[in-house]
Amino acid sequence: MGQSDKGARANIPVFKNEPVLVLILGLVTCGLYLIYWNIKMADVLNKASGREVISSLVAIFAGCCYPLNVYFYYLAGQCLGDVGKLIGKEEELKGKSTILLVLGIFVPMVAAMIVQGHVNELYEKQA
Amino acid sequence: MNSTKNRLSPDGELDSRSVRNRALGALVCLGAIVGSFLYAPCVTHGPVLCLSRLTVGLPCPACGLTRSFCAVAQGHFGGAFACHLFGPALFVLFAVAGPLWLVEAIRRRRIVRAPRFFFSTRVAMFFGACLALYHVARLTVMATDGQLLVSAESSLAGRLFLSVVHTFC
Repeated sequence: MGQSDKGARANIPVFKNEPVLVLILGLVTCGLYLIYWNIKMADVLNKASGREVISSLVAIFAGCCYPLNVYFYYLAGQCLGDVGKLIGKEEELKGKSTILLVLGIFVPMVAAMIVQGHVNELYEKQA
Repeated sequence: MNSTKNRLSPDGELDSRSVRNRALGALVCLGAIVGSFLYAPCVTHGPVLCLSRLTVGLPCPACGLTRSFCAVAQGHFGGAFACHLFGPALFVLFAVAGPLWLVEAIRRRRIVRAPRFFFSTRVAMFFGACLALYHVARLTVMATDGQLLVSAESSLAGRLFLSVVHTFC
């Protein structure tokens, strides 16, 4: 791992959750938790990719508004490629953009669980 | 505040990834705007698209945005605010961002730099809290005037529950 990778990781805010908890809290709070989750995840993914990809304002409504949801998960899929670079799974995570886009349309909470699962790997590698 | 930047050449030229992002963003925004004009005549008797409302009868924080967008498209601004408090503001944001991103994607060059607050987590948290408070207030009103119970009874889970009760009781 290069020094630049270590530097990039140091800037990434910690937002570690059990993926299934994202699903449960999303359902129990009638989608309110997903607003918080999207805002925090947008921040984490922007920092992980080293550029402003996901606007926080898009993230607010992406938890429950369909067209924005699709856009959010498309951008999240792109950022996952950058997360993959940091955890040594670049090719594997790059290929998930399309599946995230499709899941974002039909079952956004499952897409959220997938993103959370891979972001958790980032912190596990760090530890 | 975010310290990251979009990757731009010194003259504001966008890389292919940023062009793709803008093209999809423009498609989403303009699709929503055009869709609200086309869907407006049948919005009151259209299908329930919200998974939460469909399955358990509870509206999600964004429920009412489609009706609000359609009301704005028809020029009924009072009705638009009644359907969703944030609907008209979001409509304006979409109407500005859509054409702007489309032009940027076509020209492969940034025209306007997005204000810093668009990427500020604190600003997002503030607006997110406003949306959450609005949602809780709306649920409280719906619960007190009985709308929530009617909505829950007509949802998939509600109908399943009632059919089970009728079968065994």
